Amino acid sequence: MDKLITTAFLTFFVSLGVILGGSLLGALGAVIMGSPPVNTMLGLAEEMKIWALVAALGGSFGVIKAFETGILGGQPLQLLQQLALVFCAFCGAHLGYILLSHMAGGSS
Amino acid sequence: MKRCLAFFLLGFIAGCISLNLFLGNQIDRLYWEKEELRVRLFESNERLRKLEEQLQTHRNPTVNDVQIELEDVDKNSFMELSLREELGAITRDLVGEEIAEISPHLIRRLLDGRQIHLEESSTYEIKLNWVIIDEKTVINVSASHLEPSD
Repeated sequence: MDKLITTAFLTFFVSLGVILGGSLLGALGAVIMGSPPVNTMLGLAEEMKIWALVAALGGSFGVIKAFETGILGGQPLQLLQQLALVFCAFCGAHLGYILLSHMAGGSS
Repeated sequence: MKRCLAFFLLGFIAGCISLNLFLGNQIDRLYWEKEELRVRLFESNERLRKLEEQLQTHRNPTVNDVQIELEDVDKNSFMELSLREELGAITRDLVGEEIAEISPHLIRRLLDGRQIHLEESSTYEIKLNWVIIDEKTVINVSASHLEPSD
C-alpha cells in the first residue's frame, strides 16, 4: 500500500512537471523564435496532457499489460491500482494546465 | 565549478521563465497587434490595387500622340521638317487631353488658314483636310507657299 501511495505521488508530480516544464520552456523557445509566448504555452500544455500522462506512467505498454493481467488474470486489485495511477497522472497534468492558464491570466 | 555553472544556468532559465510569465501577455498583445497591422496593410494594398485597376479601366481615353500628315509638300525636305515642327508645337497641347473633351472645330480654327513663317521670305498657309481624333490623333493638312506681297 505504501508503495502504491509513493508511486501515485511520484506519478502525480512527474506529470505536473512534464506539463509545467515543457510548457514554460516551450514558451521561452517561442519567444526566441518570434512567436507569441502565452498562446504557445497554453497550446503546448493542452497538447502535452496525454504525453505527460504516458511519461508519468513510464510508457503505455506496461499499463496496458497490467490491465490485461487485471482483467484476464482475474486480479481486479491490480487493475484498480493501475487506474488509480492513471487518475493521479491525469490530475497532475490537469493541475499543471490549470496553473499555467491562471498564470497566463485566462481561465482554464 | 560545474555545480556553480549548473546553478547559474538553472537560475538563468528560471529568470527567463519568470520574465516570460510576467511579460508574456504583453508580448502576446504586441504580436497580435503586429499581425493585425500586417493583415490590415495587406488588405489596404489589395484594395488600393483593385481601385487602381478600376481607375485604369474606367478612365476616359486621352490623346497619347499627335501625328501630322502633310500633303502637297516635298517629302523629306527641310521645309517639311520645319512645317512639321511648327505644327507639332501648335498641337502638342492636345496630348493628354481627354478625347471626349476635344472639339474638332477647335482644331479646325487652330490650323485651318493659319500662316506659318518659316523664314523671312517663306510663309506657308495651312489648310486642314481632315482630322481623326483618337488616342493617336491624325491631322492631315496641306501647305501652300505664299508669295511675298512686297
